[in-house]
Amino acid sequence: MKHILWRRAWQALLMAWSVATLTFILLRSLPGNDMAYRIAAGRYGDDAVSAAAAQAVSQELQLQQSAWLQYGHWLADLLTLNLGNSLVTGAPVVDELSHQLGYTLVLAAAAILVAVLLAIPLGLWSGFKAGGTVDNGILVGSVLVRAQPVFTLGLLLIFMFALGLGWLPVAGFREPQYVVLPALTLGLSLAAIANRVVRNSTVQVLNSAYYEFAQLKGLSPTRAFWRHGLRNVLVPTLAFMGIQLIGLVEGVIMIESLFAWPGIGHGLSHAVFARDIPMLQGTALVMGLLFVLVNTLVDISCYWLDPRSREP
Amino acid sequence: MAPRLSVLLTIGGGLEYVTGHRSESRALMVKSGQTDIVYNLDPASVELLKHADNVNVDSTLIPRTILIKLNAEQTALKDKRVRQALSLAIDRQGIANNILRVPGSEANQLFGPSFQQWHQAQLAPIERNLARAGRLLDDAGWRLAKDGLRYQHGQPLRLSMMTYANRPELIVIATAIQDQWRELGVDLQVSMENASAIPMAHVRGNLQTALIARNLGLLPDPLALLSTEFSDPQGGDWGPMNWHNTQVFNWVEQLEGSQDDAQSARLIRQITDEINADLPLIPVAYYVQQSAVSTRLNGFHFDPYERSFNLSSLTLANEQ
Repeated sequence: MKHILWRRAWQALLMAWSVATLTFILLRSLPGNDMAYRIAAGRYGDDAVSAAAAQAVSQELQLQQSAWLQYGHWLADLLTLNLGNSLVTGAPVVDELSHQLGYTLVLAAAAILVAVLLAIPLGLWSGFKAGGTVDNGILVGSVLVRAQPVFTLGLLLIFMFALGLGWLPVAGFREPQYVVLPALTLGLSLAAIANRVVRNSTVQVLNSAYYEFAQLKGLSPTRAFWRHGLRNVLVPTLAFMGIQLIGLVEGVIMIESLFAWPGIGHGLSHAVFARDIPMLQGTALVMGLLFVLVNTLVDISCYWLDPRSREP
Repeated sequence: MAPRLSVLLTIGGGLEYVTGHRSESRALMVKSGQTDIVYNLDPASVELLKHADNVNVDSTLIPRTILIKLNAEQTALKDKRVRQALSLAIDRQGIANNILRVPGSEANQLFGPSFQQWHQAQLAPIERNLARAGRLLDDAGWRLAKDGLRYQHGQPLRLSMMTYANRPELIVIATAIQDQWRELGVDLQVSMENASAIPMAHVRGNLQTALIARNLGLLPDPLALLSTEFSDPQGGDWGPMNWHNTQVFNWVEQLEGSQDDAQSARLIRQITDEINADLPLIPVAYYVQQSAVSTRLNGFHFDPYERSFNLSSLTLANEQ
């Protein structure tokens, strides 16, 4: 366990430095990259962006400083846990991120919950009925759902639940019911693949020698699966869900935009358009750290679920 | 940050203001009854909302013109006949009817009907005339070759056009113009940029053409705009570029000092006539503010100059 935690802590440090550096380099190498103009457009809008506004921004933010100097300042600030201020709004990046991150975590947690609640029962059902009508039906459904961009899936759900049935609001964030449709969209998209992983693990477990032996020694089907099957199904599923978080981040950007959800994905896309480097570095850093944290949790869960990993 | 603004108002026990990023979402919010007023809608959403029973669509002309900014020093564009030919090759009615979905919004001059003194109401609409446009290009020395492109001294008539994504209709209009100019023998490369790329390219001098939606009503009197952008060849970041017309520059100077109403009116007429003829900017369409309003609201009125929704005068239909 200690080994896992040390390894992940080291990874987090390395990740923080590499994400920040890569973001810095990539942003500087984007085409049409004149930051002062971009930031002026972000601050004052299309009608007011002009050469004069860009010059004022450049002087105020000292953008004429060399890239190395700016990078050095940012890195020094990072060591003191100071992420700086947004170049567009002027607000501390930490404040902006904490606001956005809260919303994104709620959405991501709800989406994962939906995915788990759908993927595990459906995957198990498919696994037990492998090759049958149910298995094929769920496969076709999963392919259809996964083949849709999350944006289309979200619109379909809005048409069904908000416009057709009138059960849920289209977009917004004030009340708990606002999270249902974005979470369902993301959750369905995640579950479409996750249920296939559960299904394959189930088939593998059901055909394994140890599972056959558990049944031969007289355990009832329910007891045999509970004692010897479920854990073995969950280990690859958990590991897979951890990897899928990358896809979740990609989906969050689109979904937050579609459902007017003020999360970190929305903030990230605006930071890219406006070349708001501190915001972008801060957002990428937080997302990277979250990714390491989630994978650490996945490692710990697998460590707890699979006794073989505890062997020296 | 100033993204393409997107606001929804929900009126009930108080007033709630929500920023919705996507036009599609905003349209569906008002259609579902979740909100009462939505503004800045894309043409497809307007069409959807026009068929909704619980929503009225308010279309108000605002002092913003969709136009093509030109670098008048570019090899081809410095010839007035080329600028006129390009203007004649645009199917403005088609753009107004099929892209903006607001028939009658096609522009025949820089200043739209919102600018009473500066707008010439008697001016006929500009109809697409490819034959005349072709003759103008022939006269200017740009001859049609077998490959369908026009050439002068072995060089094809090839132009680039920048536009930006914040206003979703611009890229669609730009690609329509690309197709329409291709029929004339002009090869247009369209690129979508951030809005800030246009003033930047103006300053750096590497802009050829740009499709923009220019707010000409930022200042109450267009004279202030003309004084800064139509008074020397430098032009303006969002205005003319390298346009040399000493006549207009002099008239603008005279107008600045004019105390006589009759003389001012005459100068305004001369200036607008010359701008409309010399085309430092090619007008395409006038902008219409599209707002969707729930039928449960009465008294909605949008002020195009103050950009006010007059919320204080709104009443709920069932409260009357």
